[in-house]
Amino acid sequence: MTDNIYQHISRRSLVAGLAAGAAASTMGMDALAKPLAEVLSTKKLRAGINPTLPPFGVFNAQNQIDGFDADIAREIARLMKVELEIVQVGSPDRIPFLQADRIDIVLGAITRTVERALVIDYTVPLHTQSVVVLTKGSGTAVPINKPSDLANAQVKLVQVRGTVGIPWIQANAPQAQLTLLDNYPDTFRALQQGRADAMVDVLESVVVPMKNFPGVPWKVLDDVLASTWVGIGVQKGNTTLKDVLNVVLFEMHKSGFVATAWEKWFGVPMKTPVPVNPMF
Amino acid sequence: MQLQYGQVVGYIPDFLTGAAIALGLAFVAFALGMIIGLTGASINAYGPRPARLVIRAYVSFFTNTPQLVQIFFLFFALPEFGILLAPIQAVLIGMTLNAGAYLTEIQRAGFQSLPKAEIEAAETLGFTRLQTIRHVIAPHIVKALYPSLSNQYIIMTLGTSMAAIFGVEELTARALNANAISFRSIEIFTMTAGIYIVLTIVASALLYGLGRGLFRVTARAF
Repeated sequence: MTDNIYQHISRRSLVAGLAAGAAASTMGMDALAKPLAEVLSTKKLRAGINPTLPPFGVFNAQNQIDGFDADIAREIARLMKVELEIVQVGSPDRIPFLQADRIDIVLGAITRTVERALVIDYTVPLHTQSVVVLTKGSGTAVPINKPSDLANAQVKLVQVRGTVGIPWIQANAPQAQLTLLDNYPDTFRALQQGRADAMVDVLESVVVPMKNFPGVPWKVLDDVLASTWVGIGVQKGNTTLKDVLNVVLFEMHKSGFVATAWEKWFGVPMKTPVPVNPMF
Repeated sequence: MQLQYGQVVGYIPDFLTGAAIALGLAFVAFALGMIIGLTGASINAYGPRPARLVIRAYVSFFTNTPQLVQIFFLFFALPEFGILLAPIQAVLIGMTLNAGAYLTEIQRAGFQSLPKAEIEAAETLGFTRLQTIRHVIAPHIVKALYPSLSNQYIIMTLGTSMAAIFGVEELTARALNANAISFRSIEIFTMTAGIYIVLTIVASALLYGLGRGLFRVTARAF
């Protein structure tokens, strides 16, 4: 039964090249949540981790999935006294994996949005992401020292299609020339080659690609344009598991585990810290 | 699965602007490609051997590599040599060079199919080379090649969708943007496919009318 549902989703995803939310929104009612009791009786927690989003998920030298999310998942399993099984997921299929009961929890910087909350349930925030301006210290059309410098017809911006910076630009820098490309490597190459002066994106998505272009005088402006909040996703209605995870995450924030793992993988503290809040 | 077309019809005006850009791209690239193709095929038929070899190298390079890779090269490799093409320039140049290669091949077949007797008759009547091309060769080629040429035009119209990858906001790019906002993938892409179908049907009908009216071609349009 589960297999059939999954094949159904993946075929549909292939046909339409679906985004995660879209795939999931068509599937909300089909699969059954695996309750907490089953996680405890099998002593196994299956965590979906996305290795295409470094350093949230990365492949290590042994070709195993590691990264910030893997550290978090391991600590959750340790606190729950169950065994962890890491399952590789990608951006388009991570929510369908949850829907089809292939995984119990999903990590991978799934920003909390109303659209997604209609489809999956979120725990309390695990971390934040901060929307910032990435630019260059030299070689730009005009000097860019504050976000409002982008509102200039001479400024060229480049963005990955469908990312959070685009609505911000439309609202705050509509004069700038905007080019939309398909993926981060193309976008960074365009910045490096001088096709564009700046991009607006979450800091966490740009720290690793920046390192792949070491010759460029990268500059990240200090201003945080917006913060997004990221929780762990569970199947819609799986409150038994979600309630436990909320307590586990509170403990992990309180003990400093989350902050330590963040600094280990990102090299800097979380730009917008998650307050430790006992009420949830 | 519930499809909600009501949530995506608002994108139609935006998509139609994109469709106009797609049509324009295909038209300009095809027109310029035809000039390259006619020149290339003439050199192939009448030119000296070194020039023929150059044309052959050009054709085999462009017909044996994917168009996407060619444009990628124009867009991302040329800046390393100090040539920074705008997205639309890179796409247009890439599509034109690619079309030129295919159209050279198509028109070469047209030159080869020319009956020798007709050219000899033209020479006997004292036609100059240009007059021969204008009154004997060109009408013959257009009529013989009409179906292949219109096929190429349709293929190019649909091929404009890859301009999205290079930041040209044509129809597919606008569909991808709308998809990222609305998550209504199936609705958006069926609507986009519908617009492409209308584009190609309109183009086929126009080409059919043009062929009938100007060249008395009786090939089927669909």
